[in-house]
Amino acid sequence: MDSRISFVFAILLFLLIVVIPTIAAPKNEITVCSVGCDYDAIQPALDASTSGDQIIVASGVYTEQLTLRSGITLTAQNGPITTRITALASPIISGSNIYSVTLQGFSIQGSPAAALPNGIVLTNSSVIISNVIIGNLSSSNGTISNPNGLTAIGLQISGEVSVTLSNSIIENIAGGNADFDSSGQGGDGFGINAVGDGQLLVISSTVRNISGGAPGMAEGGYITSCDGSGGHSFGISKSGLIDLIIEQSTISDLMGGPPCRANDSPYPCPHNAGDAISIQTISGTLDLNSSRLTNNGVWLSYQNAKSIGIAASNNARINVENTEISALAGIAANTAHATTISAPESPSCTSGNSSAVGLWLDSDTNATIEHNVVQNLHGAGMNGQASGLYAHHTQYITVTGNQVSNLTGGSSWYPQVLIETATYGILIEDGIQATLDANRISHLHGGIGEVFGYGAKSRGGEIVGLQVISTTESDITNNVLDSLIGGNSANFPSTWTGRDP
Amino acid sequence: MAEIAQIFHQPGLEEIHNGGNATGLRIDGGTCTVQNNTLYFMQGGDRGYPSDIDGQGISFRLNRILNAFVTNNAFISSTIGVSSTISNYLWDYNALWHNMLDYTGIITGPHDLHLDPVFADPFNDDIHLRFGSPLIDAGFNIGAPDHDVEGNLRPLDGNYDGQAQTDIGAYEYQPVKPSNVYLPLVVAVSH
Repeated sequence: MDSRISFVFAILLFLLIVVIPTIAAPKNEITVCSVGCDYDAIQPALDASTSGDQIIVASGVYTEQLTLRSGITLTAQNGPITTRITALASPIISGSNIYSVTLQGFSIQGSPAAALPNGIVLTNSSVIISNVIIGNLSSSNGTISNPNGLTAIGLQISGEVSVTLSNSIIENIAGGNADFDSSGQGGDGFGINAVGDGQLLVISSTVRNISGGAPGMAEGGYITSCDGSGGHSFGISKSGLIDLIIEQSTISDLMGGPPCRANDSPYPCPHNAGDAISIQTISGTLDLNSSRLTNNGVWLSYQNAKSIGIAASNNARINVENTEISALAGIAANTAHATTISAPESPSCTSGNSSAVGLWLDSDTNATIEHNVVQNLHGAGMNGQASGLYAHHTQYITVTGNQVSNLTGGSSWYPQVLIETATYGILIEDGIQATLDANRISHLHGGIGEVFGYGAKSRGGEIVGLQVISTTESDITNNVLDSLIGGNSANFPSTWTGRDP
Repeated sequence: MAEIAQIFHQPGLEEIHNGGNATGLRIDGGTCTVQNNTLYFMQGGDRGYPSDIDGQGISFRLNRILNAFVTNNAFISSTIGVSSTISNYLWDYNALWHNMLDYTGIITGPHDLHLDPVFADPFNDDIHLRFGSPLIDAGFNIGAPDHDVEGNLRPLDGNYDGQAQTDIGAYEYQPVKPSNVYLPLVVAVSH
């Protein structure tokens, strides 16, 4: 009898300890706040959590580095305006080999106390990020021993990943400056940098105010050459086989790093400014829909810095629909961003170039580009082209129902050189098949030849609305090309009126 | 004619003060089909001193093409309508108007038109065809696209002759449907 009672008791104990908790395992809700919660910091709550737990964080500023764990939902109770995570070291948040993680409602911010180059870094992970603001990140400046400025990245993902970013903002990311008196490179700035395989989905989000760092000025510009270059600015860059899907998002206000200046004439002239590229895809696929890429600028320099909406290369497959690409410009003086073009340089410098290109496709890229608006692109300098679509060495390309308008080629400011680069509404070169249907290309203007008007060479810039070169087969139907005007020569004495009445 | 002579002016030192050229559509190499496009107002830039050559505005340039099929296009108001160096092409049913020179290197198509296209409001960038335009129903149906630049179906019967024929250019004229007129019903009542 006693043994039977003991047996029943043992079964009950087994059920109580092992089976019942397994069947009815409740998801824990763990609270974090300064006073009166389970924890007063987030990382201890993460350390104590198990898969399926939800961590609720109250408003406040949390200064700590976080390491995410699998299966956890981390939520700011009152959203990103009142709940901020910062840190004294970078990255602010990281995760490696984690899955089924949700991060929502936080502001993840750099610290005035230290240059923090990385907001969130994820490796081999599956994470949903929503309603967050990642911002105010900058990387360290170069030093005498390490002259290059370092890279700053809002969201870095690598490896085998599945990441969704929705209803979020990534802003104010700045690459570091090179050591001033060196020939160092400015650091690059990235809103998002993705490398590897898997998928990155960006929905209803904004990436803005990304800038490259300044190069070294080579002893303040008082030597005859400079090797440093401005850092590049990328809204979203991805390489490898990651499928990048972007919907209903805005990428804006990118600025490439400034040029270095060398004293190769009486005036320190600009070299090697950094590029500004809203989306860069190197191989893999890009699906971009219903988004806006706007207001990028690059500085004038000899090496033709580029302000680009989409750059695709290395056998990439891209599909771009219903997207506006606008206000890309090579800029001139110390004006921020793209909308103003002013005097670019001293006439003592042989003219520099800065190009503005809506879509730049290269190296066996295949593309479908439909129903987009590409407008207000302005090149600067002698060979600064402004082109809606520039496709070189592509394979199969379909361009349908797009509107390309208000492009202006760069002008020459130096009396001894000619404008050699044309501005194109659409250029397709060395392709296999090009299908162009129902596109509207209008109001393209060539640059002015030798603006100051006292030089020996002053031919105006050339314009081509739609050019297909060395492409095996092209079908060109239902396109409208309207109001394409070559650039004027500006070389004339006061009595010369140019065109006859 | 003096102006046209300038177009073929041989390059010289003064060329470096020419106005820039503007080309609407340029195809160089491969095979191509070019149908139902509208190219309007390509103008070269103004020349500088001492050049005597303004830039050229050329609607369409063809070079090194193996095979070109070019129909139903409108080349309007440029310095040159079409400039070609190719020999293997099928060219017809195109409209050329108000160019200083319509063709160089192309044999005129028997059905080409040289009439005012009657655009709706070209000075305000509206180059739809207006009712009565000679480009309406003047194209070649075979091989023509089944839609226009705005996605409207083509061909339509734009001149009300009972035949649906493709228009020349990118815009298919949208004929106005006859509307029914309803008169008030009057009932005579005798007392």
